[in-house]
Amino acid sequence: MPIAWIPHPMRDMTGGAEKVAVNGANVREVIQALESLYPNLTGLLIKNDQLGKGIAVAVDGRIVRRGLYEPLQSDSEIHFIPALGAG
Amino acid sequence: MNDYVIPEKLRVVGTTPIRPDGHDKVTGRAKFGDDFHLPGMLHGKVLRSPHAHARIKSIDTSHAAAFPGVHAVVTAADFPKIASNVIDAGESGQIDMQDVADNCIAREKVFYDGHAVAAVAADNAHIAEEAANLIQVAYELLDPVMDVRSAMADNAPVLHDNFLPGAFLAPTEKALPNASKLELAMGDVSTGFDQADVIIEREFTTETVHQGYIETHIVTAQWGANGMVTIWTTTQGQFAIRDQLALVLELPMSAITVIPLEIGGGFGGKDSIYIDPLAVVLSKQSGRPVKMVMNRAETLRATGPSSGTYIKARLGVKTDGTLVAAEFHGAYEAGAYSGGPVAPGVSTALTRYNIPNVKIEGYDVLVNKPKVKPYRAPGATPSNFAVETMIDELCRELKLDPVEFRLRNALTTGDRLVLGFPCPEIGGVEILKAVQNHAHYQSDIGGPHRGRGLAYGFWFGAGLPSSADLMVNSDGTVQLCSGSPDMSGTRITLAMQAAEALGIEPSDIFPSVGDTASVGYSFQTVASRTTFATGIAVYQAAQDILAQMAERAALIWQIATDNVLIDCGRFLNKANIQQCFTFKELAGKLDGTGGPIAARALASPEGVGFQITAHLVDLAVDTETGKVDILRYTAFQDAGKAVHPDFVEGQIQGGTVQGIGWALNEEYFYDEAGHLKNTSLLDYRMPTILDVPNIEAVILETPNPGHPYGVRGVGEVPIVPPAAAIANALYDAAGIRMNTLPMTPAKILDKLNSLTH
Repeated sequence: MPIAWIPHPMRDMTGGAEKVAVNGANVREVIQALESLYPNLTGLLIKNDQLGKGIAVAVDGRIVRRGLYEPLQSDSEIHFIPALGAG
Repeated sequence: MNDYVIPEKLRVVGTTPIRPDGHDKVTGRAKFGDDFHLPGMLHGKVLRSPHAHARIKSIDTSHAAAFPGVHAVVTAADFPKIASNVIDAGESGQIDMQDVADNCIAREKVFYDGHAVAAVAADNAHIAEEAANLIQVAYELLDPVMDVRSAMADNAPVLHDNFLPGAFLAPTEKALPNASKLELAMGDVSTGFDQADVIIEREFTTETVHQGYIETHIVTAQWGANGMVTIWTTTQGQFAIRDQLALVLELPMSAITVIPLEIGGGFGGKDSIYIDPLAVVLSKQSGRPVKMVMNRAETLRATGPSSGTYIKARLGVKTDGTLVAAEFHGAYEAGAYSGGPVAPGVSTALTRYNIPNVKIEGYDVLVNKPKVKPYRAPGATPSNFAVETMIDELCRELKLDPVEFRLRNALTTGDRLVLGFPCPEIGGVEILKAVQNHAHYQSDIGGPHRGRGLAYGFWFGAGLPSSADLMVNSDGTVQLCSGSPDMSGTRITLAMQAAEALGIEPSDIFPSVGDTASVGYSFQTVASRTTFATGIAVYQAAQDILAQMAERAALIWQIATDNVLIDCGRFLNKANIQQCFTFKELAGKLDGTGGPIAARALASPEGVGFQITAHLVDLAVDTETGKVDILRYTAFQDAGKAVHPDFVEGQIQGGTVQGIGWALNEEYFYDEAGHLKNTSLLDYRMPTILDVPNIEAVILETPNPGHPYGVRGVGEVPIVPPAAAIANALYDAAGIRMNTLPMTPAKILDKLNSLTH
């Protein structure tokens, strides 16, 4: 089962849990599964059907380009991180 | 995504061929922004706000419009109010395009000294300037807020009633009147600090600095009779300029062609539009092409510098030198609109050390200064300055060797980052051991008031989309066209990767930079990404070329394509290796076997190799004047694989010198009313060749498995450690601990005087 790591500002919503194992074939499904456990969490991660402002997602150690549509393996790790930018 | 199998031996990558654009650049033949002219071209000039914060009550352009020689005058009223204003900018996050538009020309308020208010196109630049000064603007003055701590105070003047916060997962839209908040954490800092034997807490400030590119912003725009717009400009990203223009002018992207000219420096500052939409609308109104050139004062006043900061940090360490806890609070200027470098700044503050308990807070803070822009590893220099000087202080308190201390705590492959995920392959330990074993580290400094400082730095880099086209000519040469402007020799580093993959010589590849109508989409030349990400696009296009050529060989030999062996520029019949074509021979047979061959690849690579570096500096400080002389400087950096080692060295040297300027000299001076007072390069003091010794670059190579030749980006991280290394050397030389940038002679004298009083 994929493991979603909960960003620090959202851990109040997960009772302090740092990581949660949830089913999902892609990032969107994982967020939906998290929402069923912790209502209102989706609103922080998804805005206008996209990852929210300033949020990027890393899957298995790589910042991925397909966002909510990134496919997951059964043992994938998902991290929601700040978009970093560069010069 | 699978890792690449990196060849043990490379034939072209790692050599140092001559860059194809070099001769034209040193002889003046290369076309930069100001070298471009069109028949009938007008010249545009901007009227800029003399106030840092004011509401625009009215604008009267009638006198300017009536001035002889004037052909068009524009204000914000000539630009659309944008309907859909938030766009995704890849790993840079999202951008509020109304902010971008308002930054180009103020709509209701001016937010900084130099903010554009109106623009004029005339027969020449002198007429345009004179006419612009005839425009009458009535302002209602508002109190400016010029630094992050004032802007975060409860009673601070509010810049925007609403803004798109630069926060990360903040539950509220605005954490403070002018700021939004970002938080990161791992472990439990409270427990961590309980385990610490020594805890130090320090505060730091750094000032606003500019990238200091020598060529200013220059654009020529032509509104065609058919509504098609053509732009010639100097930019880090022709597609970024096109897309931003399309959004702020509400035009189809396909109606705009942006042709990139050579670029005289960017360093992150030429990734977005300023005068471009003004030139387009002036051209539309006048029916003539319009050229606009920002002078140095305009560039310093009204283009994006890098943030001034306020930082407070706390580190906890055990007596054996193990870091057990860290807290980092960083407030970064965003400038007039939200979205500064707070995320990369605070995310890299501690990333290079494996600290189990970390808490980070970052604030993106609106102030009445120009909207900040990236500057080589944006945000990382101030945070590195803070943390690395504290590390030096801990080393001295615990009497530990600074390299040994860093080795004990170094982030290694697989360690969890503060972002949560495991660190990919990284050569930090190798870097630190290279420092330890280097003659510089083992040498005596000698002489009074001389000192040595070390700092260790990190940067993420990025992937993002890149494109490359390859076309095989009948003589066996190859055209290479990418969408990545060449800021640092990337024409040749891309050609070398093509040559390596195709099995031919770099001199057989002709590399060029395409315009937005002729090449596939590419993100800007930013984030140390071009040799890495565009290099992967080149590699993928080359694999396509090889496959197509193998089909032609198979056709000629009447065998299955699988039976063609491709071996370093040769195509052989596996069943009869006497049948063999060189690349050139087979290229000559394309016309009779189906026609020319070309390939296009668009890549968005995710296997980014992190950048790690250590800088070692010796300096002397004059205790009577406070002047610092850099005596010796060695920069150690992991390039993954140095495609062209001379250009890696150049990137290291260039970034280091910019870091030295940030450390010792450079800063924006504003008066209390928010007027920028140092608007020339005489008063904004960048280092010259007389100020720095040769920067010795030591290049290490821990391959990045996310690139077919192991490449990591190299362009950004060299600017990260210089300030901290110099500050640490100053302590070694004179016993003064600096907590502010720049470390000017006056500040150094103050510190020296405080030692004796």
